[in-house]
Amino acid sequence: MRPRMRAGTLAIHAAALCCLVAASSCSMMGGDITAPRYALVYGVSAYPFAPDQLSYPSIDAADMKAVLAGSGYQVLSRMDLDASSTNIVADIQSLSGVPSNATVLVYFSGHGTLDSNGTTYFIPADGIDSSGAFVRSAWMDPARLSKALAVLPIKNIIVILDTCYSGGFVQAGSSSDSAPQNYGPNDGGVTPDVFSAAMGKFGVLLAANAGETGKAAPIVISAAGSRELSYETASLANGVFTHYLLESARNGDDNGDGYVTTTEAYAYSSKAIQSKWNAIYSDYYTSGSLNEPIFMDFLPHISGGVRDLVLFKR
Amino acid sequence: MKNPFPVAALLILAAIAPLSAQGAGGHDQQEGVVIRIEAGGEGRVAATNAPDTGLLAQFGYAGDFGASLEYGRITVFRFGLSLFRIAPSGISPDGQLYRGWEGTRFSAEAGYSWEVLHTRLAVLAGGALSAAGYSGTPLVFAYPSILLGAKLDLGKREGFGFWLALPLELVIRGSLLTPSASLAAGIRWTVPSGRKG
Repeated sequence: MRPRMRAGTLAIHAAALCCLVAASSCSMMGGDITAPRYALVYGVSAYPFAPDQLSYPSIDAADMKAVLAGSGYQVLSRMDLDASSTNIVADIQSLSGVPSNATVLVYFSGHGTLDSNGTTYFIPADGIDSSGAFVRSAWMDPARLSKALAVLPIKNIIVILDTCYSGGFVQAGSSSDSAPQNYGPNDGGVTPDVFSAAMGKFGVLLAANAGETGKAAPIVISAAGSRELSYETASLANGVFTHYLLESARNGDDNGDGYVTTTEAYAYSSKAIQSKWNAIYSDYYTSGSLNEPIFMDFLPHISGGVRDLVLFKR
Repeated sequence: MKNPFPVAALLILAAIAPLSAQGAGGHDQQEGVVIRIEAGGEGRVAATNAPDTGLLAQFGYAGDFGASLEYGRITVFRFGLSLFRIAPSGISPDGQLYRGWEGTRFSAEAGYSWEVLHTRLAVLAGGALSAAGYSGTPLVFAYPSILLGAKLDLGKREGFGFWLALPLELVIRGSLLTPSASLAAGIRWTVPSGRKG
């Protein structure tokens, strides 16, 4: 019995040490968000060329504005013809004086496209003229958006795009996005489980790990992959992705801390799209920008990195 | 390597192990070769500190399985497999936090043990490779880590017994170093029972 008693005493000491470690970490647990939050929200339903008009992006933007305002953001929104590339860039520049601890969110719902070089764009209202001709100088690609955002003196930037091919704006960083850019059993495949996805390219991931710095980069959530379309539907009266993203503001707080982070919102909307949209539409197809058939299942993407940001407050 | 502590700890361990072996000559020392099979679980606290985000704690848990070959006081090697999950951190005042991640860790360690208060205290050091994904996302990644830990055997050395451990891990994700400490406990089975020297 004696050795066991001694061992028990040591066990208590070890447990006490762990409690000490845990207690000392309480100061690292975080708390309420006190820094200012700004949102720029754009939705383009009424493009100048009637056949290119959509039904719900301006409603998406209005709904997003309401939810973000309820989450403590100061929101500037522009709809339809007012959501031009000139205004978007000017709006971002107007926030160049925000405090360094602020969060800026940019949301856009409308058309997106893909060129033959594989570059993806979202198309502001001035990106198509009244004759239906493309005005490519107004299109926003990832490089142009990054350049515009670079004027912000902050590290907390969230970009959310509900457009076709928007996955081209998402950078996986030192991690690898195991979700195919054209998702679906009839397209580029489905998302493998974490273990097999990671083990399948373990050496590549280990080499890429060397590039991780933990430094701040914008967190981007896209409605779809870089090779697929996103959709809107009358049954939801929204873009499909935006509908479930907004729903995550109410139901996506996975850990019950009162906040919905970008990762929680992504996880919720991605899961909802899988179960409520893809389960129905995985065998339906349409034609994409490169005139190739694209099945109507799709999956949102989110950028990589160790950081996450609060998106909604419940 | 910005943080020299793990390397220093390994050097110290390597330096004191032979001295301790000489000094331990009069103790009840096992010389037989034994194989230990272990299973257990652990609670973990990690301190992540990225340059633009700051220091935030992350809590997690893991299930551990291991097999080791021991010769007397020396653990020649121990191979381990852990299935782990680290929860997201708390939230900073400007709305930042660290993502949770989960995955599988493969570890290899070696060590040395002492008789302390009629129990066996082992110190193990080594390294690990982990395959993981950020929870709730399809984003996967892999990273190496450095391990250092103390393990206490409870009960008789032979056959079935319990263990209690305080493992430390330094997760190396590029230039971002995340130290973590755990409290672990589990069961073990030692085969064969070994012979007393």
